[in-house]
Amino acid sequence: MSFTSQEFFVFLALLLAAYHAAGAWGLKGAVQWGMLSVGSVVFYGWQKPELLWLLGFSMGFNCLAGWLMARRVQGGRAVPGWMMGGALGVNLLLIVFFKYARLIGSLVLAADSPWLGKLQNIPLPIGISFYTFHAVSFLVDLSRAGTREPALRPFCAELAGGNLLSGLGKLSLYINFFPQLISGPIMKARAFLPQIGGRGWEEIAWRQALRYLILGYFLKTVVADNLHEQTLMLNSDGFTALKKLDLLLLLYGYSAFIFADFAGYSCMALGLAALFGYRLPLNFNFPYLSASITEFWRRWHISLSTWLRDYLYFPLGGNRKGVGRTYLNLFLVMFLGGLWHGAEMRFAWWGVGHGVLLMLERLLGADGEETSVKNGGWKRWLRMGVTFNCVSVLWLCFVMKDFAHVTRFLHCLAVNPLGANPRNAFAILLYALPVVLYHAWGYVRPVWRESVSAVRAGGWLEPLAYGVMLYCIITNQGIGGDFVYFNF
Amino acid sequence: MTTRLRSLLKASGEYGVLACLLALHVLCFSLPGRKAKLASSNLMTNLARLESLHQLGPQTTVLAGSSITGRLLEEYFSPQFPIANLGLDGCGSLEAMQALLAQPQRPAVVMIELNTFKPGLDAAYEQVRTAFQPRRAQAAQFLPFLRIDQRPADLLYDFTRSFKQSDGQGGQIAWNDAIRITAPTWKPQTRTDAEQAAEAAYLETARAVITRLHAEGCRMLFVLVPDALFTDPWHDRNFERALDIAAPLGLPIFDLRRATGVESLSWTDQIHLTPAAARTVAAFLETELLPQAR
Repeated sequence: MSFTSQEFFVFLALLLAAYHAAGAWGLKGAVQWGMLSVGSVVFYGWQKPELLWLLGFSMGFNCLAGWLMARRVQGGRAVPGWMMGGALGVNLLLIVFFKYARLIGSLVLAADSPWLGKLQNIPLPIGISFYTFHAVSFLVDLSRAGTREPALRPFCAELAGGNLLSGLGKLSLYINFFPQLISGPIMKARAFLPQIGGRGWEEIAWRQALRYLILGYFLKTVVADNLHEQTLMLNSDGFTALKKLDLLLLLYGYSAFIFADFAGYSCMALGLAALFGYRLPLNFNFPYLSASITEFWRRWHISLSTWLRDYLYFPLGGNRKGVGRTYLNLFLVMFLGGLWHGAEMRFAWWGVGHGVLLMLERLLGADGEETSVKNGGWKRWLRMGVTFNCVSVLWLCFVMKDFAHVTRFLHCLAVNPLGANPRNAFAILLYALPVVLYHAWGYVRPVWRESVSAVRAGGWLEPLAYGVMLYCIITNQGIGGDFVYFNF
Repeated sequence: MTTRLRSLLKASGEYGVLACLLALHVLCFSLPGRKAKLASSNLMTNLARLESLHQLGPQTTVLAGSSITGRLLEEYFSPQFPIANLGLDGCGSLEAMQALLAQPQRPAVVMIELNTFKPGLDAAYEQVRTAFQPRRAQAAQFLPFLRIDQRPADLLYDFTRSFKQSDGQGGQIAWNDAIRITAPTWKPQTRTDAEQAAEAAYLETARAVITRLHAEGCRMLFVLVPDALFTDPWHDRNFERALDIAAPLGLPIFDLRRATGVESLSWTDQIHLTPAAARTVAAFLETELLPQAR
């Protein structure tokens, strides 16, 4: 079910009404989160119910593994490596089989091998990358409940006490919570599980929730869907005939599109979760204002980058095992992060690109203390421009069929004649404008802090902005397409 | 901004702002003629044209074709001669007629563009058909701010375009009668097996669609809109197909490329008429050709 489909709005209205009716009748707690849990299963299985068995297996297995771990943690004992390794191994095996078997098969098997055909037929469960990451976070955080993650102690005690049904229900809600099930933000278990409980109508920050939804739907239906149509040329070979400025506009238009598409989804997820009284983490913080790739990863898809940092980079040793190992870890994390996005070589190239740039920055000492937006000056502008262009070029790996097309695009950018088609330019510039304005807002906030505070305190700017966004959602929607991150 | 306006904004909230903007939209853009003639993308233009079929009047003439016909904007015709331009970018005339067939209303006349009366253009139409939301189109009849041709971005695009493509009306060409085609003057083309199969399927569909529209009271004619591809063999095949269907039904076929004066027309890219040339062709259609069909 997509957040922009008609059936979703019916589903949401019914679930929201039932959830808050239960709260109003004093049935807070298990009834409410049970409803959310069941509703999330319906949401996930709506179009392809046959994929529910895999999700069910993942939840059942992780609940069992969690119960075994919780008993040890409650007993004051550490979780042994074989137990953790086994539990993580099963989760990784699932994702490797369902997501990467085709890629591995195409790399190691002959083109006419009958096995290759069988591997090609393995279905790709929607959101498997996201719920596997949730499962990993659950297992790791739970194993640390006795030491570093005190927020999980009550849940750990409940699970260790043998309340498996409740544990399974809560774990199901954590892994399967519909606002973030398919495309994140990736919640850490320690941040989500303690939130599970009952909510009254009066505890919901309605205005904030609705504003997140307005922003999210605006970014998706007005900006991303319209820009998608304007940047379709990148999917075909038609771009080779375009002039230089057209190509540049396509490149930047796609950067704006992918931001609007994904940030739109994240805002919707935040708003939807808030309607039920849950808080999800912010996933974007003006990413195209970054003055380095290091900074970009602190501002873009924050929940993924912190997940990779906490559950991959640090366990690999981070920067504590020497210079060479640090570079290797950086590269590995980005390479695997690239493959996490999709089981195709183009995503691997995207990860390699980011990994190499991170290594280069570290080598040149450009990854250290970033100059703040406020005090940056022209050097920061220069670095922002370089970073934005690098990021934009690497996005081509997301949209183009293979790396050869990316290089062909760059070749055309270098040799094609100067010029632009005003029709394409107009539409791309117009629809990318909100993304530019959003980042401009991010830029002026720290620079003109007092003026911005005064305007916000005046209380008229936000109603105006959200009113205009609502108007555009009604009158200027594009053609609905899937979210890019649905494929991951 | 005055203090009063700020206070009003603060008090009304985003929903007050929305209500004001929608009211303003209806006020400004619901007047006749206030609509985007060409949207900022081909798909949106196609959707707007499909949506306009919901308001077909019984005296309307539908121009069914591709982007070639799409250039013959409705505003180039006089208000007494109601036109619905169903020139679908990237599609062909059969696809446009299929879209017409999906509507409950029938126009008085259907002009079938011959330039794209050929197989292989259905993929683009499938995209349009999938993207089209009939419920939204129906709602748009009562809530004009839902109309695709009133999207603010497209109106803005149209506004900027009007500066760039000002054509000064163009000169009117005194054409003689367009050549009415009654028999092929070319040799049949040889085709591969796959082409023959596609051809047969296309002809079967086209015959069914045209026969049905004809049976339901639409007067129909085939017209080859002038393009600069004077020697392109694709038109010969198109004529063959059209004759195959038109002859039994007694539908006329006109080749405007053979009319005198056509050499003074101009094209933006060998295929699409410039606004000035499109006005000329529209004037000819209105005064000479389409009245015959009526």
